Parts: sequence; structure tokens; C-alpha cells
Amino acid sequence: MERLEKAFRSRQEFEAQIRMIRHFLSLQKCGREELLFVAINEAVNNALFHGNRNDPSKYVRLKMSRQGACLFIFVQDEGKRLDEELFLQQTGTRKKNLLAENGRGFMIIKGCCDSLSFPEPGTICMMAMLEEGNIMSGTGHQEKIPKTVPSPGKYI
Amino acid sequence: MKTQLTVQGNRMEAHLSGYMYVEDASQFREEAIKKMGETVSHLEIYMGELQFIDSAGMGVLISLYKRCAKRGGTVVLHDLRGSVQEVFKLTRLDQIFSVK
Repeated sequence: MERLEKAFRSRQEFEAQIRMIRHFLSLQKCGREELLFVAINEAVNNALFHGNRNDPSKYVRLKMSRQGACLFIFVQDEGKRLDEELFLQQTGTRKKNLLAENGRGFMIIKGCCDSLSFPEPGTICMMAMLEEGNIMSGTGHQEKIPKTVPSPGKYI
Repeated sequence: MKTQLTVQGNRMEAHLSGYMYVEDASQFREEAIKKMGETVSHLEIYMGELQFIDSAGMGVLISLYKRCAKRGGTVVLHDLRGSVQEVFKLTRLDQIFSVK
């Protein structure tokens, strides 16, 4: 299975799809399925609560596609907030308050994947993982991630 | 997620198993605070059978940590494993909590 697309309007709808999402991840054999799922969960929460502001009429779309040695994961909400700004706030170089009770979602997402970007401003978070067994070094890592990120596609 | 809470004097033991998603974290926080009452200042949380935690769950653990710290106590986390352990390292919370 090289592609999976799901849409959710709430945590309940997302949790009903968890088994299928985990199954898709396990088929990719990337060696970090659990951490990828952690990242997806954080991104979906971010999209539901902050992007769509828990509006039950709005969708969060999860799209996963395998392209060569990379797995691309897009999480797309219908909000107008700029995820990139929030990302920079949460992961910036200023000293962070470790005892803050929230605000570590993007830190977790960044740590669980190999590459994070915002291909469409404000609404999409993208993650890419390498296939298990690929040698990772400083430059080798960068070379294996394609320079051209596939388009996440229009959302309805 | 399944939760088992036991209080003895000023100490409480919590055994967590399964998956702690957002709703589970919120529920655990309510139950733990209620059980802690005014007397519990030391919390031992056994996480060997917890298979998943997210930032919401970590926020709850931090809130319990602060509660205990205000009372002069501590929180000890036991048996962090797999992705739960990884996420604690990523967020550097393994530097805040006592981990065994």
C-alpha cells in the first residue's frame, strides 16, 4: 500500500482510524513506525484544536504517500493560522520553560521525523521519513530527501 | 487507558497501562488530583505497560509534578519504554522527572 488518505472532524473520528493508520505505517518498514505515529497524533491534534478550533464542520486531512525511499505525510486543516510561526515559537532557540504544561507538540513532531516543512502556508505540516537500512550521515541524510516535495494536493 | 491509583499516607502509586491519548490524559489528571487530596506529596508512576503518550499526557504529568513540588514532594517515573521513553528524551523531560 503506497498511499493512504483519511479525513477527520474530531478526535473520535481520528481514533476510529488509528488501527488503519498504524497498519499503513507498519507496511512501510521505515523502522520508526511508533515515533511516526506519535508525530501524526500531535499534528492531527494541532490541526483539530488550533487549526480548526474544534469546529465539527471542518475537516483535518491526513495524506500519506510513499515515494521511493521517503514517506511523505501531510496534515491539513481548514484554519488560517500560520503553523510555521507557531513552530518557530515552540522550537526556537530561546530558553524554553520545561515546566510549561503545553506547547511541545511541534518539538515532538520535529524530533520524530527527518524533515518538517510547511509547503502551503498556514494549513499544512509535512513529514518525511527514510527507509530503514538507509545509511544516515550528515550529508547522506540530506541527499536522500528529494529536493522536490510532492504537492499535498488541494483540499476541499 | 487503564489506571490504578493507591494512596498510603502522603504517597500515591499510579499504574498506567494502554494508550494515553488526549481524553485519557484529562481523565487521569482528574482522577489523580481527586485521589491525591490535600495530603499526597510523593507520586510514583509505573509506566512499563503504557504504550503511548502525547504532549497532552506530558502536560498532565508536569501539572502533577508541580503539585507535588509545591508540597515539598517529588514524582518518580518507573519503567519508561519504547516510544514513551523516546518522547521523554526528545522533550528533555527526563531531566525534570526522576526516572527509574
